[in-house]
Amino acid sequence: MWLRAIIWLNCLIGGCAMIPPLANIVEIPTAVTLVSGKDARNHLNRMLTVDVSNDSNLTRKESFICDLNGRIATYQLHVDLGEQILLLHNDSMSDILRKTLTSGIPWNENIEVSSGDGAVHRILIYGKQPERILLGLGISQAELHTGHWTKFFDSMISVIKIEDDFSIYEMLIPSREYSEITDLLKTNGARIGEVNSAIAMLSIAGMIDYSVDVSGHIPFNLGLERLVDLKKGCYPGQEIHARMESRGGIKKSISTFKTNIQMRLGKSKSTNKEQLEIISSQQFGDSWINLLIHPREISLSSEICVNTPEGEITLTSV
Amino acid sequence: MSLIEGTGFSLPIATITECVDVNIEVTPAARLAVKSAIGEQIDTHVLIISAKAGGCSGYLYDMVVVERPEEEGFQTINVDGVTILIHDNDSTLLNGLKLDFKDSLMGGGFHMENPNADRACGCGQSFG
Repeated sequence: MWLRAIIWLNCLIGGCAMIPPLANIVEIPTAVTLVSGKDARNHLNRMLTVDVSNDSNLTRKESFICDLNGRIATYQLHVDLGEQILLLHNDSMSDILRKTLTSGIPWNENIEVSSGDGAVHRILIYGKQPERILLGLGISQAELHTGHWTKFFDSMISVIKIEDDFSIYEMLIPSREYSEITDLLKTNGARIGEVNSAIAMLSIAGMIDYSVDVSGHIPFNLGLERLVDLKKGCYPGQEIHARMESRGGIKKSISTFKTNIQMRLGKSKSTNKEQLEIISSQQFGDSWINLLIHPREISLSSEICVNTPEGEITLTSV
Repeated sequence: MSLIEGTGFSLPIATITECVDVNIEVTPAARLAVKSAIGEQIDTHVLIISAKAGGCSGYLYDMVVVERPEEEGFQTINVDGVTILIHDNDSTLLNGLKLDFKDSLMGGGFHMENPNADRACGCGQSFG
């Protein structure tokens, strides 16, 4: 009811579509898994690459579950709700995540795993002035933090990145509120963006969204060592990660490159015979933004030429 | 209402676990050590050996001495008057287990040899 009142008030004041677009909103398809029970946190903590044992209510965190060889099996975003922890992840990882979470539950622990696919929508709000849109909803930027979710009615909102001329916010909305909230955002000057552009924009900002399939990769090779906590104790893959870190075994790195055509995902070789792998290629305006895994020692000059079945393609550093 | 209340969430996902009759071997040294750990409570307390997700290799061994639990689903193994329980859910992971005890200052304590483990971590507490 309060939400409807805010929508009505915004329409009255703002004259609806008369406001020029201040930011884009886009729904990023997401799968949702709920882990609940008094031992849910302990159970997760034994498997995740990060420490969640001391997380408080509404903590926002990302994590991996890795296989025994230290390679990523699942990549998820957390919404900590106390005895319930909501995990948002790529749909392609749903089966393995749920199978992993439901196996090895001790006889004396209380843990339940449920699917919430379709129950929660995830939208990104990004652009030059998304803060003005959020202010129209009564949300001040000062209330929002990267590692924390802030409640907005039944929804949650958090910061992904704030730059001088560009910001990205993230909102989780229960399906029953979805149309009302998105209408409200549009009324306040948001326009509907494209999923490709939003993921490309995250890549430009140096971030890998969990909607990008990173399974099978070592977290260090993706520049995501912040999601590996070698001090938390054992988790699957920890021995491999610790050895790589201590012996300088991190041989790959990830960078963002621009092309004028879409790149085929997978392995390829540069014209200098360097082994490369493209894990994401998303359209952004007239260009394509690519996430490229490459040998660490490669000289990241402004351009790399890649041999493809379509011929030689030049990738330009972003 | 909150983000996760209302419609859209499934009932808890159920897992179907295979159950086998468990046989384990307990070495004489381990028998003595278990008896010593249980002490005078041998009539009321049991040793539960279980496996839980986690550790470097996927599963962690767990051993606890507790008052005989009321929960169902355990298989009972009697060894020299000591009762060892293994839950049906862990039966395929722990069947054939050999429990040993090493009395040494470095790396001493209970040791597991598990024929179901493809690999184990260096400290011996985790297997997969």
